Amino acid sequence: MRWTARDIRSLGEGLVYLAPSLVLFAVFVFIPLGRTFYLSLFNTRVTGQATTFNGIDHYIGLMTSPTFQSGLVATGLFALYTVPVGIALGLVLAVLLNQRLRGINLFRTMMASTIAISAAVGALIWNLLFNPSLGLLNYVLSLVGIRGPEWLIQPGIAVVAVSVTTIWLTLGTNIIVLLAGLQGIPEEIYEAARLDGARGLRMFSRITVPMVSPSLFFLLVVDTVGVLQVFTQIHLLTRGGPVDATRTLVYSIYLDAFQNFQFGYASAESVVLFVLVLCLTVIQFRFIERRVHYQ
Amino acid sequence: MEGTMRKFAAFALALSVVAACGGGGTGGGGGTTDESAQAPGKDVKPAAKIVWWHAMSGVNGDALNKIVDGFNKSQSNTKVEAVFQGTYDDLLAKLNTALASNAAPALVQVYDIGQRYMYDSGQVVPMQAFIDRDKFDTADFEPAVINYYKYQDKLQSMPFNASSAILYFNKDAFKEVGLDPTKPPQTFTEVADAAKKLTKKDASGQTVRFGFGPSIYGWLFEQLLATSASPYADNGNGRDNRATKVVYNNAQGKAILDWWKAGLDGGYFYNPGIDNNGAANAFDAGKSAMYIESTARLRGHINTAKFEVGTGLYPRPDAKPKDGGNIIGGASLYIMKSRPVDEQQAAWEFVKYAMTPAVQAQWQADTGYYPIRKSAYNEGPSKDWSTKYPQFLTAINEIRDSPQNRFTNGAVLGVMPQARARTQKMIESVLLGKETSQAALDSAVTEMNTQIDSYNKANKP
Repeated sequence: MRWTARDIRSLGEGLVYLAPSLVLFAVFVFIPLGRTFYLSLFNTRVTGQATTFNGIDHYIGLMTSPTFQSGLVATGLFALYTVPVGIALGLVLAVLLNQRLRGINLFRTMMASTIAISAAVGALIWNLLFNPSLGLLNYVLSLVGIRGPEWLIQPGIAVVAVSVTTIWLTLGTNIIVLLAGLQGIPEEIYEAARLDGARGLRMFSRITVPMVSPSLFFLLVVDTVGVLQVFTQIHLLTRGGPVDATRTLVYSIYLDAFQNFQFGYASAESVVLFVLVLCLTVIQFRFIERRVHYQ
Repeated sequence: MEGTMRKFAAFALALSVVAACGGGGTGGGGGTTDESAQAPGKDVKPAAKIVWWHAMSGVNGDALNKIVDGFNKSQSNTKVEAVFQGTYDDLLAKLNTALASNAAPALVQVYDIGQRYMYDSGQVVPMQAFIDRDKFDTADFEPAVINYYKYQDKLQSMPFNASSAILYFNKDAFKEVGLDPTKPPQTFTEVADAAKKLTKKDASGQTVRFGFGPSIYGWLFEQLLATSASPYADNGNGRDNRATKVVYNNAQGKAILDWWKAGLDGGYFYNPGIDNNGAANAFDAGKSAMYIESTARLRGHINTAKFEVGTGLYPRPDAKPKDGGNIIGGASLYIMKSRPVDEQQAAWEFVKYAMTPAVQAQWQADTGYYPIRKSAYNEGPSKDWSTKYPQFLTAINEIRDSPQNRFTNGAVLGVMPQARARTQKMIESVLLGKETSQAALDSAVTEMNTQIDSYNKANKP
């Protein structure tokens, strides 16, 4: 294709319109991104300046570090515990909240209320619930004769505890998005299905799920990206422990950059996280989106 | 076209992640360690205003503001503005960013284990330069405190708030099981034996009170090594020269972990995890009858606990090695090189004020930290405090009775915050039965040594 004068003019015009966002993106995304790539190839002083060129040593160090490997596992487990359960639970609750009942708006508000709670507050609430000596959770369990686990002390259970907190925090958003999706399904489709004899679960799996699949897909992508960035709950509940069980990639980056002041190494981790999220998102768009039914 | 848009959307999502995470380490600033850094001349007029960053919250924050008000009223040259910056860790992270953009304040409070970092940053006017210039007398300073902050016999910073680790015990529980509350256990075996006696089970076999419940806190391990007369790092704990290795994977380190693990397996130690507040709560609630923590918690326990709180010496090996003792904790004040000389001068004037015995005595009474200089004990507030809370004397006597050597001076490492976190993981791993004590020690040491290597490579003196 040849560029005509008109094309060039319209490109120029477009760029002028885009300029504000391009400048913002450059300042807050592209320049830090470039800097991150750059720093990942250097040793850095404690104050963050690059000193000696290090090549890909940080990356080699990462790949051979048991902490990094266990961090990948922790990140994967955390995402696996959080995203599918959060979406499934959100869907079930959204379907229930989609009934036409008196006072349903009250229930909708209640169920979606976690959207208004900041992660820090939510984590502190759950920290109290999990507390081994004063915690409500184990007290309630003890009333029915169950000896509650040491929530934040046993590695396997700590991941679950942080996941439960995260699911609780994201549930509000999930419900709202799915409820909006459900309300967009035309009543005629259900009527037609009913005439054909579909009921209950069959209706749910054949009509509701496909019709709400764009919302489900949206949540899958957004929740996955979100969960890979979770910091607050981990910082307030476990600080990455016990024995690194909840030391996700993001938490590792925080520890290496802002506790250990190894900006080069932390930058290399950031780059790996970037590639990981990019790959995951591409895979999701490529393979899962095929099954999404757009109206 | 749509496909391209989708790919772009995926890319943008991923971008937002890395941009959110990778902001650290902006350029600028520069700086090499310059040991010849000079104090400004004596005739430089102090600046009209300086900013002081600190990490004292709650009661301690109020006490700190009291000092600042006192200084501002005591003279008319300089006004100090105290700015709270969150926890010690937060403050250091913010300082790090501020240094890069030349926005650091004239005076900062940095915790004990940040000293090598501050030194390596090359952004500090050594306190010694001011001390030498004014022939400021430090003769009556607590030796343990001043030695902790000296590197190669020079003070980089001025100690400000000092604490140490002690044993807390529930006197009522001691009486209940027939232990003498005037003779708290001192050695590992004594603590374990007392803990066994103090442990109480209910009818269903559930433990309602454990004997001993220390949190998994790296500082406690460092203290236990010091009472065991073991070094933490090489080159005289990093004090004769920059440390190149950590060395705690020795017999003393193993004995500490084995003692801890045996107590937990035996069911008479309690594990509150890494949560220091959780350990304190458990003690207040009577769930554990003894634990070890900083003296800075004493006032809180006396206020909260519904039993008589006892304090004793920090645990040590049965042989009571005579070179063993306690290390001080707390924080110190640094004057920053990046500020103009008149601000440095003003910061020094304030530091001198904060070190006067009367201010120190009031600081002790308001917080529970102990005075940096001995003459403070002659002041009214300090005397009242010691009469009211005799438990407090345990801490200061413990620190005074500790021999002064490389073990009790404590380790200095650029990667100390990280090293501390790594020992916590090591203790967890032993207590949870993931590794044997020796294997856990070895793997922690190996990993830390790689980190020390790369730190030393990147921060050439």
